[in-house]
Amino acid sequence: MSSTLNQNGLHVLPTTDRPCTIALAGNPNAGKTSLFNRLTGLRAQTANFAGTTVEHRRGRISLGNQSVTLIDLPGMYTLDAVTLDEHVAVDTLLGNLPGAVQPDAVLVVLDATNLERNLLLTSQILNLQMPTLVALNMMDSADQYGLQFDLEELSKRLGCAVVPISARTGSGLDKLNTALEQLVCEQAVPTVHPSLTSCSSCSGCQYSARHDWAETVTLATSRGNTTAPSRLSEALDQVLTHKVVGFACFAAIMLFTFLMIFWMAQYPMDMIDGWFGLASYTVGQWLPEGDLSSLITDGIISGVGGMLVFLPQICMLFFLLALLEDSGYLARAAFVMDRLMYRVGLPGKAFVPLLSAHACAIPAIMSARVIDDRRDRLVTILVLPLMTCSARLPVYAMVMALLFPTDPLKASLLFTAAYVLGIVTALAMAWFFKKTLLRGETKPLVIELPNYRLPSIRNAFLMMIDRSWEFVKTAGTTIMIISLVVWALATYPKTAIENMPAEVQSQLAEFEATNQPNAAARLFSQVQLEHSFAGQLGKAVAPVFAPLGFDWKMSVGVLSSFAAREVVVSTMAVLYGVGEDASEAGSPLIDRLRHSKHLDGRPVFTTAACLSLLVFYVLAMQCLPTQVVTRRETGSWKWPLLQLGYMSALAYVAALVTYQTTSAMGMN
Amino acid sequence: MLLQELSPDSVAMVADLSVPDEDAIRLKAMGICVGRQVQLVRAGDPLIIRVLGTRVGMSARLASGVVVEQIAAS
Repeated sequence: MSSTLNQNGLHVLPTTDRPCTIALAGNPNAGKTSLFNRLTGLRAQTANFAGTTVEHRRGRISLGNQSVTLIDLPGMYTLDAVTLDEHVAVDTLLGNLPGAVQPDAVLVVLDATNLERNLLLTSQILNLQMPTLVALNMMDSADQYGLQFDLEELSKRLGCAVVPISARTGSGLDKLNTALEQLVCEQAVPTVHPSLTSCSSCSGCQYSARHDWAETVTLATSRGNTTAPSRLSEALDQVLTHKVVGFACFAAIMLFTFLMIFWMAQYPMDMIDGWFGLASYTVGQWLPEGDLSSLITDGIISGVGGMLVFLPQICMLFFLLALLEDSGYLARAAFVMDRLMYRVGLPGKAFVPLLSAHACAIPAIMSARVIDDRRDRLVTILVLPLMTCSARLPVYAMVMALLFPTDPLKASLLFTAAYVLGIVTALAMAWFFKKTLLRGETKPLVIELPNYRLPSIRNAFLMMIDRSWEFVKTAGTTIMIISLVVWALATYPKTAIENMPAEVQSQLAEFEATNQPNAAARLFSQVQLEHSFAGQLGKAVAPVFAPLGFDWKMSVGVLSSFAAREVVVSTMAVLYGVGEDASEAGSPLIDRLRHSKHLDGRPVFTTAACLSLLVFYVLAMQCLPTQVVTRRETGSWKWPLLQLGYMSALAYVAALVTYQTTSAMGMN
Repeated sequence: MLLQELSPDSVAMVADLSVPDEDAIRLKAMGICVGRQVQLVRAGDPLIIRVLGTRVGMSARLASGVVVEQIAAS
């Protein structure tokens, strides 16, 4: 352990050999995260608070010649925690979290344009008697609106140093660094005003006393029109929180967001798809044909590629959501949606996850963290996978091509119907869960409507990197394992040519003789798959799916897609002997499917069977990565199992009803 | 009178909070606390009030537990 010299030339020994930690605390919307990003840049990482599922960002910074860990606590309005995030924030601050040490100092971040409100939490933190420094943030906005501060007086009233900064422009950060360094060295504890010391003892009226104090301090230390910063926001809110117009704006903003996600993500998605195709092809060229080559190309590369292809959409989703949140609009959206969502027993905040789930359920489940109440959050997570995610689109496209190859209008109507079925079922199930399993009052809305501001691209970008990396880590490892298992099931046991049925052998010989190696290879892999474990399993469970109108090949497809639903198209392609192919109308797969027959000669893909397949894929839980994330977010396997159970049952019954009624109506 | 009975733009003083404890903490932390001034900005469900210089949106069913005394009409 080395001693260091502080500014006064005194030797300062770190008290322990662990690095010093400073916690960033403040109200939501005070610009805490912007400041954190400013101070740490890309060196920050996301971690869970010890023993909890609540996440935070932490990062090392160097102050003078010592290295200090910064912890970004969840935003809070008071130390009397209500939500899980607040509990964890408070416990961390007080050092009550088992396995974690108390931070050595607190950096309180205040919004200068909203001083009085921010001072409530400050007053509580001052009472903790920890080394404290106050950063008066958003000074750029305050200047713009002509707000002036008597910093010396403010510092005297708070009993600790105050540094004016702007996390957005970066002004004042040098001074903040110096002040932080001094704080860490000197461990100065704030001198608390007597009126605050007395009010921490009485619990009933502490808020009154603290608000009085905050008002006095604000009046004594700031000058200017404090309502000026919110004038523009209030004008905008006349429109954006309006009962009718506000709802229309909400719909338009969300529609635009999703168009951006699907449109902008399409190019990188095509690129990624191309890269993996190329990688698969190249590796296939290098490696001698055999199990190893098949394992790497069909198992690993296509499995991982199948997941990464959704990454651009997920990145875009996180990026745009971060921009919307930073701008202050998400609070308005929660406000506008609250009454509607209340009807099904969910809070207004649940709409962001529900909408995000249309891109992918995984980031949606992660974004359900914004929901305060545990039951409300669980219900939201349970129903999220019912929303039509991008992975369902290839399946939908296949069914549309089968049913309406030449009628785009009918196809798009059915497409919309599939989306609506997912949404309506999700809302109905949410209502059902709130009435039964997770009974309880929906938490009434209380939400601050912060002033609108220009969102920071930089913050949104950092958020995107962070969340997307989390997705890759969680989903990636699982997908890798699943791909290997599915590959093994579909590859073994191998069937030698001489063990294949006689007519297959003669057909193969004929293909060879007429120089059609591709056709021979396709027939060969078709028969291979039929005799593999996956094929045998499919045949074994075929009777279960027969009432839904599925033949054994569709059953194999359904089974293989329990890990990841999008693989059904490629599985069917192999099973129907066309090789991996797209699902466009007129493609060999669609053609082959249309002409396939049951053993007794009836066509397999009747209208009834197609509709039944569609309904099944809308409702079934067929995504293991989602289940893994549900487990992580809820902390128990109980919830993903319930998700799997109820959705499978729902899918089966709904597909059964669809098939039986439509075939009774004669839709063949 | 109750918070949601105020007419838009009128200012009132919070006289009593009769809401569940957890909600009371959330309200008090937001500044909706006995003796504080609030102003109704938008009536309806949810409604918007101005308190401590910012606007807060809240469900009407929560506002029905906030008793206020009107100070100034719009």
